[in-house]
Amino acid sequence: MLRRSLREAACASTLALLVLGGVATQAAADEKYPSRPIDMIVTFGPGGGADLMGRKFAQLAEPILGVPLPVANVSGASGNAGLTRLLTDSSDGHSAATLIALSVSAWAAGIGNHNPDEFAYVGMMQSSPSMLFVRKDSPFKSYKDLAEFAKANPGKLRCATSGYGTMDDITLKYLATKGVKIVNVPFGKPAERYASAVGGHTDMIYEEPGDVAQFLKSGDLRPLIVFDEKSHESFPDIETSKENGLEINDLPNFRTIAVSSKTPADRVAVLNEAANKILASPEWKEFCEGTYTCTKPLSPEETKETVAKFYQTVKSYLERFPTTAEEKSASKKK
Amino acid sequence: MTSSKRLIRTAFPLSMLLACAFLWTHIASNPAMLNVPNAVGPGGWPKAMLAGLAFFSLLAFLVELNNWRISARDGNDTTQNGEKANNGSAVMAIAGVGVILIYGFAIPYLGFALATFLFIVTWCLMGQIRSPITISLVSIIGTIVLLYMFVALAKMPLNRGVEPFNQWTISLYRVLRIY
Amino acid sequence: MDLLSLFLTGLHGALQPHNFLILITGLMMGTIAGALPGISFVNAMAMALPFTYVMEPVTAMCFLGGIYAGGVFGGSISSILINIPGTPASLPACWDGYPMTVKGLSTRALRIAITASATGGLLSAILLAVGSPPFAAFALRFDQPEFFAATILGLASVVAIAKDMPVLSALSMFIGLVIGCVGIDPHHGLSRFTFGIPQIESGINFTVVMIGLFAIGEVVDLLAKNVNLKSSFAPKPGKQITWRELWQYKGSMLRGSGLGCMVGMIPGAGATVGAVLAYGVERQASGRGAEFGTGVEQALAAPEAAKNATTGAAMIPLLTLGIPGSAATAIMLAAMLIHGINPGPLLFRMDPSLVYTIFVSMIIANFLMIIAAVVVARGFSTLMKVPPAILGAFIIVLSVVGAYGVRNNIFDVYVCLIFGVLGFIMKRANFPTAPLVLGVILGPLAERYFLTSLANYEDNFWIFVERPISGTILALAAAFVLWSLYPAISSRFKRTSEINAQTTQSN
Repeated sequence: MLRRSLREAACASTLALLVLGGVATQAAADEKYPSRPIDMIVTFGPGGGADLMGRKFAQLAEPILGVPLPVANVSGASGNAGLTRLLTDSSDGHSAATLIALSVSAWAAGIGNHNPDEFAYVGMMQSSPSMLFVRKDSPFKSYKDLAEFAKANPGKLRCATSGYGTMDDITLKYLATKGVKIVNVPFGKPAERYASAVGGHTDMIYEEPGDVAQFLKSGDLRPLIVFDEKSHESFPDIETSKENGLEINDLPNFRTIAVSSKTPADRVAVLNEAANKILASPEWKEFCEGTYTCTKPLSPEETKETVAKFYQTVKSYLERFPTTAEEKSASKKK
Repeated sequence: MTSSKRLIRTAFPLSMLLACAFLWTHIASNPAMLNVPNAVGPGGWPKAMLAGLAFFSLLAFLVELNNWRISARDGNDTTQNGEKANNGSAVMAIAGVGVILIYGFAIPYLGFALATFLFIVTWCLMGQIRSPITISLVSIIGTIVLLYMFVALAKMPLNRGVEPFNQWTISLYRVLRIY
Repeated sequence: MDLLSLFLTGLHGALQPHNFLILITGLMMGTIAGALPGISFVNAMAMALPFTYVMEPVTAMCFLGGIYAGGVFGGSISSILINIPGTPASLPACWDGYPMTVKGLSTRALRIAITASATGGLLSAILLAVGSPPFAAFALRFDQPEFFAATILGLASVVAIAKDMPVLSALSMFIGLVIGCVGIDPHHGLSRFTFGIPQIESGINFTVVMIGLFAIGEVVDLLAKNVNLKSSFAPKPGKQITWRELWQYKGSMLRGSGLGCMVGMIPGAGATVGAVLAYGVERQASGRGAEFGTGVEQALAAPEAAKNATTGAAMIPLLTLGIPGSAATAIMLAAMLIHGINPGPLLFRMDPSLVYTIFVSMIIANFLMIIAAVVVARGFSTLMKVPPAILGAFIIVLSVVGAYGVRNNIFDVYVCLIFGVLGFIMKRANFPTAPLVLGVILGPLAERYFLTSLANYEDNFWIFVERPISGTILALAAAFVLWSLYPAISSRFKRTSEINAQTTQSN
């Protein structure tokens, strides 16, 4: 009895499978690209800069490419969980991911075993230098005020950062070599980092302007210095690090869209063309101005060059500032 | 309290204790990385937690040993308290756990759609449902509804499976107008 | 914005057709799941989680809030009608509700239970709406040491509240705390406990652990027992109860509600503890203590009010501090984090319309609950005919989808399944699983707050007691632990009681 019903059930199920699958044989491998939705992997959780960028890109790319780009947040390990996912997905151009400076600097610090050669780059979408921000009622009016105070009171000032061994940490360590000793106070969660600076629990915050845009617009935070060679378009009055005689102008926060390096070059070119159209669109202009991240379009090769150069820069900085045993062994291992 | 339950209760803290000893030396693949001068460092918190776990595992183990002693002395299990163990079939439970594990690990190979369909069929059979009509209806409609809900609507990138199954899933999605 | 306009915004949000319909759907789902033995409201919420990924954050919270309110009540339906508690929190409803059914008074018992639950839930929702904004404003002054202290208070009370089995609860919690350390550490970027497996670097997400422990273990149990849910006899509806008669139980209901509100705010306590405590208190207060267990109506009203009164109160620490105190609120936290919303004092400033919509929805939910309860109670016997296997199959699939959807990562599904097996074993041995989940949630928070506090205050370990607010909170935590240890120490090596072991499970 039992066996009979088992068999019946099995028959019925197999039949059902065939019905479902039978019609499906129509799908032969077609040459048109893109022929189905392109999975857009955002390598960080919802609400952050990479998420905004990935979603905006997906939204604007849909009419250009003619297929939807469903966005999936695959967060974890400084974006490396998502990048691993990208590389394990089929490399036919139907998967793309956000690849941002934070992930690249994490590789240099020994997190995630990726390197710039594993990816092909659709294009450079956003880029912005980092800045130091203070609370609106801070006594410091310029970087010089800050530096003088820090030199007179080493270790009294505290800066909210995203952790040790990051671009934030490198910058503070570099400043320390110039006699400006500031304590690094890491906050694991961005929201807590912003709250600490806005609430006055720390004296300053190292961040790119787009991430604290709402506090800049409300006036809770104001910029002191931009770590770049030239002044920022949106903040023309703010001094650059170069003007202050500092040589730490090469750690921009960039965001790219990447695919696997095994993706056929003509498909990368299709995506790059779409990216360039997006960058030129008024919607994107409005978006990048709001987040202070406008950048000029780059070809896949140029983007790759930028990423590879950044990777080497961070590595050499980390070798230069190995203050903890952990970072020493990390930099030795590489 | 049944003896199998008591056995778990004794063995569980003991295995946790062993796990603590093992984990203590394996916090990071390179222990040198844990040393950060003049700070708690990345190893401090996990060590404190492991110490806490070890302490309470030991305590739980001792309490349980004491319970064994008491029940041995009293000759009967006073903790039973009229509570009848109704744990059902152990074979069924283990089979159930096995099927669930196989389902989870099959998803990346067969793809979510196929694996889910097969899982629902299996589970219904295990649950004494014998009507082929019920089984086919529940599994097919269930799978399709799930696909519409989570692939079409929620746009979740659920696994499509390795190659022959990947094409199959893509075709299925096309038939269902998801792609 | 002044208070009135905030409430109007909330009302507007809650009455949006999609939010309102979702709230009703949630209530129905919760009540049904609660009424089904073996599926508690926590399981139902864990199952519902993947659906919330599609929704707007407000809608998601309405959905989960509805399931929560309905599910906490739903368990009483099966308690009263077939003497099997649908959820552990409905255990007291078996003690005096089922005897009423035996006497042929099932409708009367259900009416009392529904009225009491709705009263408790409503008062609790009002407390949530009135009490949390000022508390959030106060919590704006919190810096990292205060948050650390609040997290420690949460962890301490998880153990303190489990008076029957503090050692096992602590053991379970520390397993969770160790699991919370897995992955890249928050400050130095060092991989911990990864054993060279790259996927573990992302850490073990608490949602995944929770789904595994709460959903999968239960389903396997359901399969193994293959329980026959059909009731042995058809309960007679019996005579109705009038509003006048209900009014005379206002004392019991208010006592229960007050107790439930207090218990609900304590992390780690939850509906079961509230209901059992209220039963005990009512036994003292009603003056009919000796008759309890024979179908005393006060004995049904008080715990019913208490268990639903925990629902709103439990959301206060979640919304104001971002610290969930129970499995149910942890699922709500997961749903908010998925949408990039960080609950905490700043949320009241940044997104007041979301917060007030949640308030108003919870208030509305407790009115609508009456309708949902009546409908489900009517259809209860039909409901019991659904084969548990079909239900179980979909719970598993939804668990898998839910675990996958947290980070769209198949590795999380494996982790979830492994925790499902662990949860099954722990359930069989009567090990409490809720402390483990809270350990996984609160552990990483505590570590972050601890390390950042030290970095911000010159590595001064005394900072946590020196600052007045954090010092007070820590003293409270210490008092809690001492209070709970007192009986355990005084009667040490007299067997730890097993009797109430089950009641502390999974709530």
